[in-house]
This record gives sequence, structure tokens and C-alpha cells, in this order.
Amino acid sequence: MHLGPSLFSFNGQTKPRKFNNPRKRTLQVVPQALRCMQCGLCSYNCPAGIDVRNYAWEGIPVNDSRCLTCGMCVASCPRSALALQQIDWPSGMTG
Amino acid sequence: MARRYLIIGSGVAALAAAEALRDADTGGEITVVGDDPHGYYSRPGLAYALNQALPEQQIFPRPISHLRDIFSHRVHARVTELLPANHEVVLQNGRRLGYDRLLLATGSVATPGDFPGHDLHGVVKLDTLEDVRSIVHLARRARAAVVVGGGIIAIELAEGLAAHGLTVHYFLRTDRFWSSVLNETESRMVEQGLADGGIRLHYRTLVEQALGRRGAVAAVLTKAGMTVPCQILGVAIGLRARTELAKQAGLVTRKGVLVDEHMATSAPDIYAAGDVAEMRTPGDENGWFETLWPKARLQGEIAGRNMAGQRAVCTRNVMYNPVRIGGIVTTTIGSVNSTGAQDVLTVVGKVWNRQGVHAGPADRIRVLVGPQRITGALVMGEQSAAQPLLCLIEQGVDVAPLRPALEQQPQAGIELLAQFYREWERRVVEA
Repeated sequence: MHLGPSLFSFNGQTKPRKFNNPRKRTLQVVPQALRCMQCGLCSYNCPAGIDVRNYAWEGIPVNDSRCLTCGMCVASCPRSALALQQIDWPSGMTG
Repeated sequence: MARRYLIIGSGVAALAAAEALRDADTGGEITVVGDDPHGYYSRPGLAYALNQALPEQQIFPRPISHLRDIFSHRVHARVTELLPANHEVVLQNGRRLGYDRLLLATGSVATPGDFPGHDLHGVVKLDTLEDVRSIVHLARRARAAVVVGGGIIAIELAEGLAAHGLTVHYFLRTDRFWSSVLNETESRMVEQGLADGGIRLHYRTLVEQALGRRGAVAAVLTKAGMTVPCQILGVAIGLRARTELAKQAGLVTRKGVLVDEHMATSAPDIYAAGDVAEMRTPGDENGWFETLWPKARLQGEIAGRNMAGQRAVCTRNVMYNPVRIGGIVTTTIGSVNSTGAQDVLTVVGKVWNRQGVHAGPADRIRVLVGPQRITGALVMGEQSAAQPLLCLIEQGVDVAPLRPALEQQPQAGIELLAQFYREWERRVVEA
């Protein structure tokens, strides 16, 4: 199963990761798999129809060109499993 | 010949195991047997189907096509007998299924009420999608409900029933909510949130009897002699691991089915994971028995890999439980009850590292700092402290150098911890 890369991976290997070149950052929805219970409120509230929940299961940032970074999924999550974060572009986080 | 894997259960442990099995053994024959007619869905999501934040179909995280890719066969049936010597199970209809490797992922069920009238129509629990449907159906004609229980599911029941416009009476056994985890200030914050949502709290109130009329609950009589009219009585007084099959098959059980760090039970080729499993490893005599989703997923994955012939080891995680109670997102990390603990310093604050941002009334951070390590933390409201604190606790970071400053400046304790974390994070990233 592919579990990363997230800021903190699912299975307890919680180590901070660093961002590369800050000039190439962009905003992205980043899930914490550990907090997600797959209720589906994020996907239900996404105006672009993205299955955000699936990204949360995998623990990877929402990498979908339809994402508006509007924050609806972040606001709707009852367990604060999603956050809008600056992330390296285009290669994602490294660490 | 393809190896035959049999999974009993349809929760997250079962799905995680099946996905791991399919990854590790693409040609294996994976059969899942479950007594829930709806198969795999998000059990924590039931609360949001009940309070109508979600349509029912939204709590199914996986499309049927995905499940077909993973499972060779899906059987809706109850397993009545497990025969380890024959490598077989017997279904309710008498059919027998053979296996080479078996996973028990039967989960847990709500403990029924122990008072007279607990079996009346209208006495409900929140375990399954069928329970949600039943409650929604009852709520259409009900005016008032009583909920008993001191945990998260009780609150979800109360909030869900209130969302249907019912007058909800919430009975608490003690004089405040979740007193084993929250301190008084935190309990009152949650209780205020519940009261703001229209829920009426009754402290130190125990059910003597559910009173019925024509077979349906009509009121609840308390031990203090009060009668509360209601048409629904929600019971959430605990969960019990579904160990019946394991016990019948002669597997070693305690609160759950005993497993080692490979999720193997006492019987050959039988594994267990999730709510039903109690993991015991040498040196950990208390065992690991929690009814939490992340644990079930992790154990399911480990079990699946080992069933496929790998040698994966499950290590006990720090308890990490994010929930929403009384409208407040609350995360408990590690052990947050300091009662009786020696040399534990309690640090309390409202904000972690958001300079210039005013804390909201529901924001609160409580950290328990031992002589060497942080033993637990509770984060309410704004959650930016949760991950850093999990990091510090899980990595066992030595905080002894910080203790004197925390003791001298308790009001600045959270800010000091945040600075400490940032410096530690910088060192780790640079290393």
C-alpha cells in the first residue's frame, strides 16, 4: 500500500519533512491519513467533484487539476484531517 | 494453485487486509464473508448520515468496481462455526468454506442496556447503517429521546437525534462528561457545546427502567424516580469485541482475540485484526486493545501482508484519537489523565504557534510533561498543535532540558513547547 508522502505518514513514522525551493511553492490540500475516518464529508462538499477522501486514505496531497483550493473540504472535515498548505511544485514534498 | 484467503468481517481492518493481500498476492483467491448486508462503509461516518450532514450513499468510500478488483468472492452470511483443524468455516445456511489463511475481523458491537425494557421497540444503538435507517425512521414520529452513555457514540447519537428536531435528554452517569479523559474545564466546554445544540444534560442520572406502551418505549424511569417521556432511547454504554467465533474454535481470548505482533492468533493460519484483536507482545503485559479506526486499519494491513507470506511486524502506536464532541474538534494523544501520576507537569494554553491570531473560546491545549518525555496531550479547537505534539510523544523526545523553564513560566508553557518543537524539527530536518 502506498502511504506517503504526507507531512506525517500513516503508520507512526512521524518525522517532519522539509520543503525545497520556497520560490516554487503552491497551495494544496494536504490530508493526515491518521485523522481521517473516511466519512466522505470532504468529497461530498467538494464543488469540483473531487474524491478528496481517496487522497486522505492514501495520505497524499490532493493532486487534481480541478482543485480550486477553495477550502470547502478543509472546512467540512469533522476531525480536521485536511489542511491547506504550501507545498513544493511540481515535484511535491521531499524530505 | 491459488492460495485461498478468507476474511470474516467487512470493516476497515478487513478492507486494509484485502488490499494488502491483493498487493502481495495478485493471484490469490480472496473471499470476504460478512453479516452486514451493506458490506464495507465508514462506521465513523454513520454519525454524519444520522445527523443528515451526508446522504447515506456517501459513507461508502469504495465503488463496487474497486471492491470487485480486490475480492474474488463476497458472501453475505453469518459464520456460525470455525473449524481450525479442517481449515473450514460453516455459514448460517450450512454451507462450508475452506481456507488456507483466515482473518478474523469481526469488529465489536454495542453493549446492550442492562435495565428492564432494554429490548423494547425504540431502544436503539449506533453500530451499523441499518441502525441509522431505523433511527431515522423512528425520528419521523418521535418528539423526544433519551440518550445514555458517556462516550463519543453517545454524543453522536444525541447530536444526530437533535438534528432531527427531537428534544434530547442526555443522561450522564457522573457529574461531568468524559471525566476519565477531560478535566473539569474541558468537560464543561463540551457540555456547553451540547447545550447550545439543544441537548438537555442530566448529571448523575441512571436508568432504572425503560417503560413501554404496546411494546414500544414510552418513557424512561431514572433511579432517582424521575420519569422522562420519550419515543427513542439511545444506548451507547460501551463496545464488546465479537469474540464468539474465536471462543467456539478454542482460540485464546481475553477481552479480544489474543494476537502476537504479526497479528497471528493461537491457532495456525488464523489471524485477527481490528476491534476484535488484543495484541500482546513480550514486555507489554497490558496488551493493546482499542476500538479505534487507525489501529484497525494498521492491524488489517499487517495481517494481510503476513497472510500472504511476508513477515510484517505491528508496533503499538501512541494512542491518537481525533473526534468532534459538542462541536469541538478534540484530539487526545497518549495518556491524558494525570490523576495519580507523579512528576508530571501539566501545561495549559490556548495557541500553539499562530502569532497574531486570537484564540477562539473553544481553543485549548493541555500537555502532560514527565521528567523526560511528554506523556500525553489534549488539543481542542484549533488543531495545529496536534501533529507536533504527536511527533514529540511518538519519537520520545527528551524534554528534560525544558522542564525548569516550564516550571518557572507555566503561563508561557505552550509557547515554550512550540519553540522547543521548532528547534527540534530544524535539527531533525538538517540531520
